[in-house]
Amino acid sequence: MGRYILKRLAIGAVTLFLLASATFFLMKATPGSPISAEKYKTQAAYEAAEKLYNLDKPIMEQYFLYIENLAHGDLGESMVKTGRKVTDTIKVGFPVTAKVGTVAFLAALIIGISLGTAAALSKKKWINNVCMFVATIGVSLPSFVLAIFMIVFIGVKLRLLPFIGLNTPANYVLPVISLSLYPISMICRLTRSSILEVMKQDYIILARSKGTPYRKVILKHALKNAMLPVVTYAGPAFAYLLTGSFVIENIYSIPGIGSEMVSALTTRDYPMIMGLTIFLGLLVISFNLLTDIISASIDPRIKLK
Amino acid sequence: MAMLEINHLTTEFTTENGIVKAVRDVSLKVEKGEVLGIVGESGSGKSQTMFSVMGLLAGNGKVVEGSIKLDGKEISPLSFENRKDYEKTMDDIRGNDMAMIFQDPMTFLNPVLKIETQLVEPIINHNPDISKKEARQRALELMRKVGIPSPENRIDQYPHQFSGGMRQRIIIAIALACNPKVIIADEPTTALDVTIQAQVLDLISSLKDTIDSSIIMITHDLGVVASICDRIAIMYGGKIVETGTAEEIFYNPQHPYTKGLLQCIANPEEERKKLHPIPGSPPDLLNISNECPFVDRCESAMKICKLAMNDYTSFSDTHSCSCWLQHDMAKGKGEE
Amino acid sequence: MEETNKLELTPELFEKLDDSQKNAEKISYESKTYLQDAWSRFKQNKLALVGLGFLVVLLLCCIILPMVLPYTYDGQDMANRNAAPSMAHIMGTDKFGRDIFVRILFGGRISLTVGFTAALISLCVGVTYGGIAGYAGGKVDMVMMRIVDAMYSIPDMLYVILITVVFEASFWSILLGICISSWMGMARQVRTQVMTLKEQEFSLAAFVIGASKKRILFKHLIINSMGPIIVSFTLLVPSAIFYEATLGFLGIGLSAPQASWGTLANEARALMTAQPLQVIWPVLFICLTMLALNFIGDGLGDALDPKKK
Repeated sequence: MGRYILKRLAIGAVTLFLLASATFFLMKATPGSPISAEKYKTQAAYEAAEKLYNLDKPIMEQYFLYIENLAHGDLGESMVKTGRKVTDTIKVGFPVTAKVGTVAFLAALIIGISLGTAAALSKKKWINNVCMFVATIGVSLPSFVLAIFMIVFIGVKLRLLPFIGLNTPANYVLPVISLSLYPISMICRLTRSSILEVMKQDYIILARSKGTPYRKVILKHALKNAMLPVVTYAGPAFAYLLTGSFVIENIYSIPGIGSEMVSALTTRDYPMIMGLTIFLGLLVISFNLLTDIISASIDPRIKLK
Repeated sequence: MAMLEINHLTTEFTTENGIVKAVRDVSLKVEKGEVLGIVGESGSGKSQTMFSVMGLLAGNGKVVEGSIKLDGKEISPLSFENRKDYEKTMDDIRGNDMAMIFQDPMTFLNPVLKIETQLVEPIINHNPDISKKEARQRALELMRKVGIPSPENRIDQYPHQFSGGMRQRIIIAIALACNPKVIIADEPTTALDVTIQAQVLDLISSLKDTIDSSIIMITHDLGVVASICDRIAIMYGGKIVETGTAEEIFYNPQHPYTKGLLQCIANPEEERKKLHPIPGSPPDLLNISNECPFVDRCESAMKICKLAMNDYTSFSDTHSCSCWLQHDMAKGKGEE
Repeated sequence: MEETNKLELTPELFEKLDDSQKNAEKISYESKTYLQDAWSRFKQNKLALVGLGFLVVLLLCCIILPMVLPYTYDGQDMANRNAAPSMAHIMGTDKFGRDIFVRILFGGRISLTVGFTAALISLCVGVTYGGIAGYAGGKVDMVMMRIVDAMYSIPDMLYVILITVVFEASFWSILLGICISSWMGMARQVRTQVMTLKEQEFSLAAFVIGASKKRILFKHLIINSMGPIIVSFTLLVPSAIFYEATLGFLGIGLSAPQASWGTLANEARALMTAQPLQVIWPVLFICLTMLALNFIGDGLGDALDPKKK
């Protein structure tokens, strides 16, 4: 187990390094820059700015400097908001994103698993239909589309809920719904199909042949097995929610890292784009690792890999 | 009184293409301590008969007729007012009075639960007051009984750490857990390697002498039943075509299908003896009519075989067969 | 048995039965080819049929109607700005007095083209890559799949956005971004399929009769995993449409006046409180199209899975 985790950590580090390098060279290849001669009044000011961002050095030297700083956890400074460190932006933005993301994730997990289980086990047709309806709508409805529908109907027409910023708890409702509908439907689908599949397995018959009541067979024999695919999906999904949906934060004016990313993109703030990309990559990689460890603790066969 | 008595059991499965009559009017009896072999090709309904008895039919399967008596007590689902009562009664019976050994040891153990958890489950189910420690002790005993070396170490392992033969021993141990009155073994050796088959078969025949359970052995292999069964029932197309003691079946077979089966056994002592496979394939049980299921593959089929099946003709107290060749009017015909 | 009693036994009934009267290999249910079977199952799925119908109508409208209608996507009518839906403009007009319906149809052309093209390219890349990895096996497979794993661990949206920013937003850069982010799933799936199929007897049989390696790969393996590939394709289209729409909506996608549904939604965003209908129209079309495609995908998934017989 320990070796497995070490190996995975190493692979994660390599992936992150590749991501950092790829983003760096992509950004260098991009035409146009916020640091251009026209923006500065004097040639001296322009050169000073170039120097500040190491733009006067050869590209390979810039690259090595960048990687070196990265190793120290320094992601550089914004080119647009002068003096603003990328790490500070993350420190301010991430907690905001994480709060909304965690609420959305918990909602998705609870609602998705209950709906999926109900649909798989209930003999009543309508429960199944409701579950499949939610699942299909959720998968097909882009989050921003849902967000717009809700803002127009619930926010603007009915004036039931606020939809700008995150000042009161009520502000969370719409963004959380928008963010969690997709994971809800995915988890619901996965839970349902996985439970149906597990209930068909031979070991369920053996458990029944021991005289274990149906309810207990489900709790003891079926759910643990059935949760594996759900965990495999939910781990990375949580990471995605934590990285913040660019669109959702943008629509609801939530000052999280998603919003920062979009504004960095539109102003071509390269250090910011690179830094945020690496941070998001790091999050996703860590969550993937965490997911694999949880899966291995559920299913003993996974350790063998 | 027979330990398990099945009368006129009929089980149907509802499928997209229609109703499949997997078990048709099957009557069977097992005495206390007796070993009954049920022999037939795959799809002959032998497993489904026993799944009907255990109440473990798949969701689309249903017992539509007949009675099942376990030690004198009626347990056919038809005799219960509702599903809930039936399941409750069966939960008390399954694993306690009746237990089942299954075909494929690779798929019948839950991969994410420890052997201990799976082995103590029937013990706890039927002895709710037992302590954890005591249950574990009983589980260890069971493992010793079925010949698993160093059970103390292995009880905390997971199924994937066991070989196929060892897993089958675990499954047998689970079945033995509460000293059931009836043990149903559903092709317990089919999925194993030949050498392991022999070991497991040895285990079952040695258990037969140490426990007083009745055993029903489902198999498609006449060789397996020959070595351990007292009585044999031959099933074909959802019907029992012939029953008798092992001796009667092997030395005095009456039904053309039984004869055909016996001709399929390779015997190393009879050199150069040609094997005679039975031509054709088993009948499709979908919307089947009253005809004899074997009619299309039978060498001595007669016109009447297309119309109905004969009643059972008895040759001795234990030996009977359902075939028109046994009818007085057929004497001298058919077997030309 | 009762039936026996009813039967009158005559010696004639005990005549031997001819072989011709036996049907030893009879099959009592109708046999259908794979495609017939799939289609008959697809037809049973009402939602999938509705989805297919909607998509066909939408495609026809997007192709034909703009040629027939009297408006163009950039024709401004300043006298008639922000008009409510009427007989002349069935969806109303926008802030420049442009007919929204016509703009939606033009947007549909772009969105659907991006969706289908991106899905098709991802399909080809994924199938080839996964096919090679699965067929080659061993070290080649390991390295190839590690690359996929690494790429997988970065949020899809990030690729699309980064590529679009680097290459300036255009039809082709968006296409590239979407393809780079969506071929990996297909590659993984095809690889698994190929690995499973490779183990099966028929590929050995093909090898024994002397079929060349490439022939085995493409003819036997790929064709045998056609079902799941088609299903993934129908699900790739809506996700490509979704990425494109999101880019447009964030204002980093295709820029006006050549507007896709996402761009149209973005343009109307500013007026969301005053003229909510203008933002609802494009969003409604994105939503309906994605629903339709997902229904079709689900229907096909059930229909093409031979196990679900």
